[in-house]
Amino acid sequence: MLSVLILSHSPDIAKGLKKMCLQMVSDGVIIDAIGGTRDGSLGIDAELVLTKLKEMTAESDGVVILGDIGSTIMAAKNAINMLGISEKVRIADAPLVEGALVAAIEASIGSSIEEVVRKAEKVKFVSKL
Amino acid sequence: MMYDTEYFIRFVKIFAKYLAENKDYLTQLDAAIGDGDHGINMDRGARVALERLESINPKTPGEIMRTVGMALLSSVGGAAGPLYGTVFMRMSMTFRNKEQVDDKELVSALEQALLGIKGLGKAEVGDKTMVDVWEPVVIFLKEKIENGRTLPEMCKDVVSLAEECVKATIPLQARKGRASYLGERSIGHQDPGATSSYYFFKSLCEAIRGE
Repeated sequence: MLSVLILSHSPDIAKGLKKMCLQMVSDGVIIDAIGGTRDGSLGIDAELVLTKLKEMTAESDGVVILGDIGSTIMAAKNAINMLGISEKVRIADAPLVEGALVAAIEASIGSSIEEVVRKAEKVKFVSKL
Repeated sequence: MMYDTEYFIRFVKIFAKYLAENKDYLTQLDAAIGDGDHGINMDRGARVALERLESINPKTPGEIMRTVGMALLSSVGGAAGPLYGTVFMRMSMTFRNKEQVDDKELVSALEQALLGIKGLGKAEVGDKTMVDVWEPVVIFLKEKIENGRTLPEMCKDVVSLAEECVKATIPLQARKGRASYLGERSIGHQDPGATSSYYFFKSLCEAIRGE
């Protein structure tokens, strides 16, 4: 089973997006989200990203990370470097909301980590109009 | 000279003092071209770092740097968290469990920190980021150390070089981070990350004198 880790600068976005993903898929994938700093303000707790990523890589076959702005991606890259687990983790270069939904669905149907990332990244080019 | 735990504790305290004193100034710089939290974030991170250092009583320079790095990762919040977190973690890894380090090891740790920053943020000199201070200062130090000079005798030059580099970010257009969303409107403002990096190097130098 794969995991999807949502990272946002905003605690509300993280919480809300996790809820949206869980509404689409209930099993076959582990979904979690981190947003905001320890005191609940805007930002990212990079230490929490580190411990969460460690936990998720231990309990699943791979983790796909999606983030919104630069600091979340840096927190993810930092955690991957520090844990030395690059083979089990991918950062999807995708818009956060649509990317996370697609990644969650794709992971829940048993696709490989590469396929999940490919599908999530494809949403960059999906027109809404 | 040899740099021991007392030196690094002094360094962290001086850096924290500069961040506290310039909290509003850094936040003001960040408000102009970013999200206006750099001063608040760095000050909060430094305070957590000092608290953790006091509670664990570290035995080596490496342990001090690791403790500060983890504190910054957990509590800075913005991109500066992973960036400065990496600076301290990389330095800690270079020092390993040595009880003191020499000029060469200190500069080699700073070089590893620079590589860490560049690896995370993919910024180059001229992008209007902390790399605009870090890279010229590390290159300067590396060259001088290889020619047998020591940090104490170069401190004046290091601080003025770092200061020049900070000022040089003013006319630049940001190409990384949230300031890059502003495009040309980022021109004419001093980069907050470069400014806090100036305090970093200034603190490294001032800690030598035992102030």
